[in-house]
Amino acid sequence: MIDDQPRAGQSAGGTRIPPAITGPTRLGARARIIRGGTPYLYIAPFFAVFFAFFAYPVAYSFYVSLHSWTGQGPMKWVGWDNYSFSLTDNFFTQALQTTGLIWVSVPITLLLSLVIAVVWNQARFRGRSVLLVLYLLPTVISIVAVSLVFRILYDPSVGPVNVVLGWLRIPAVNWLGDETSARYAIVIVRIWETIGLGVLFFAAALQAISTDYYDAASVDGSGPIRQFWSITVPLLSRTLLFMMVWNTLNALSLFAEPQLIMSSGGPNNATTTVGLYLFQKVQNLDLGTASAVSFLMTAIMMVVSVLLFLGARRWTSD
Amino acid sequence: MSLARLDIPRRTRRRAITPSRVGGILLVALAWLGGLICVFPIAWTILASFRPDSSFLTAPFGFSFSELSLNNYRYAFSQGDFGTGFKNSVVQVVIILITTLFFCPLAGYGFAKFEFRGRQFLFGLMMITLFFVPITQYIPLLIELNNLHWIDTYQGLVLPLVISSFGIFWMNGVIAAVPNELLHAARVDGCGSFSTWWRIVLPVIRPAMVSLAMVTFLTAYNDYFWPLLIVPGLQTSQVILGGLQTALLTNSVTATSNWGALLAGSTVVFAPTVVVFLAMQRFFLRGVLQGSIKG
Repeated sequence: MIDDQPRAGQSAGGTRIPPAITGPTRLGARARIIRGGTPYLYIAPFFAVFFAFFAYPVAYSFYVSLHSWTGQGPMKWVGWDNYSFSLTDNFFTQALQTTGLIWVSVPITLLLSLVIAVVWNQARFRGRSVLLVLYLLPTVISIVAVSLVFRILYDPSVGPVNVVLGWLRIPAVNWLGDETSARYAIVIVRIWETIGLGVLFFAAALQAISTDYYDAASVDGSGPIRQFWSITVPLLSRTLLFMMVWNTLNALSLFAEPQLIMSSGGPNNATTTVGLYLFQKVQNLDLGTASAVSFLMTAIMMVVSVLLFLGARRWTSD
Repeated sequence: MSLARLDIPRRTRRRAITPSRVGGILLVALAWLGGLICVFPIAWTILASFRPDSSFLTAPFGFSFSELSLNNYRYAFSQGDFGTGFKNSVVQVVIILITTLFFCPLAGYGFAKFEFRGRQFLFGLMMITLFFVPITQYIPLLIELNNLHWIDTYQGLVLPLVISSFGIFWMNGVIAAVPNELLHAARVDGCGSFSTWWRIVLPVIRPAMVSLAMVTFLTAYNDYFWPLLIVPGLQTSQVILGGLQTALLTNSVTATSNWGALLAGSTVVFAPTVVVFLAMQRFFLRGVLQGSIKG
């Protein structure tokens, strides 16, 4: 399918080349005949994939969610039972709480990355882009590798994390075995994984803010902390909202870290998130419940996103 | 605002707002400390992968040149078929890269620079997919592709992922910031709307395209659960590493002597991403900073 695409020279130089030569004749001809229809052609590939691999399977999955099914053999109609079962299942409600707890990594990450981005943007020092790269490196490592590495870093007896804590005279923490510590361990991994993109996006947004605001504020005598809250944060509200929604969606669907680092959501299901609950239903071939849970998750994410948008609107209009 | 101004300034023109220089230096030092903490797990893994288990488990921060060896790597390669894994990963990544880099800016151009019936609706439809995070899509997709007998095939692995709505959303923002005069000039010169895109828009947004390529490469290559579900037989390098993990791991670190091999395997699997990222970081950062002009 790729070979149909034009291979015309990339130079955007001044020489004028008729469209018939630059593009494949089929596309070029259509572009002239049905002017208004051209954009549909440009977005068509996406919508082909959208209907084949998104809309159709999602609709089918809704059909499955109203049945009891193991993936083979006949489906048994159960109506809304899968939904009511999940909503009353203790494991599901506990998973919701765990997910909410682990979500605290989102505001922590955003605040930390915002502060770092401000320091990065305003202080003059050598190797500024090196600093960005350091923060971004964790984001490029795959989750399988990350989980392996953190399992050994967190090891209660020989892991480097506890060794460092020992130097600081802090008693060893049973990161993988204690229920509360295991949740903190996941929060820390999430902060480590997501802080880089936060710093990057905030740094990018800060570049676009004129220094005049800060100069005026300095003349008025307001200090750096006041400037941070009354200039930087409001001017970045769109980036903040975007990062908040995006990180929240990722946090609510989190399942790989508890699955891999904590051996399937241990200890005692303390790190079983909603995403992992769903993953386990798939593994057990309980496809009806799994489909129902994925719709519940999507509904929760949409509600939370809308609340965040409304909250942001109210906050920025103040 | 001109694009040049948005490039990362080598030496910033901004005045440090911190009134006390000491406080400023302290903040910068803390920022560097945070950066080093971020790199620590990666650096430690690479170093430990060359040390024997017995050594890095008893002295995680010890180091001597004499103990460095490739034994962990030899063992990892004898236990996992990384050659096949990388071959499959390359096929997966190359196909997804080409399709994403072609179709995402094309669709972004369609949404950003044309007025047509249903534009808002179709854009909204696309944005809805962003709320369906991958894990909620796995099951329906798996059921569908199983019916198509696409398990363990390359088309099953890549076709659902050839165009990302996030990529379209991003490119839409970047292309919207391309001045309309530029496009009109091209039209007046006789370019059709497609060749305007190919000859004018794409060269202008090249920095953002590099960033899109980087993000697409990372997402495709690092994907673990989709390949695990859809191509259990035809393994990518992530799946090989996951398999190595299940095979060599026991719950307690000290009870096994295979940690060195696992760290070596991890290093082999994340090395391509780290190398590509370090090689491309200048262009990547520039591209993201260019994308910010829409805000």
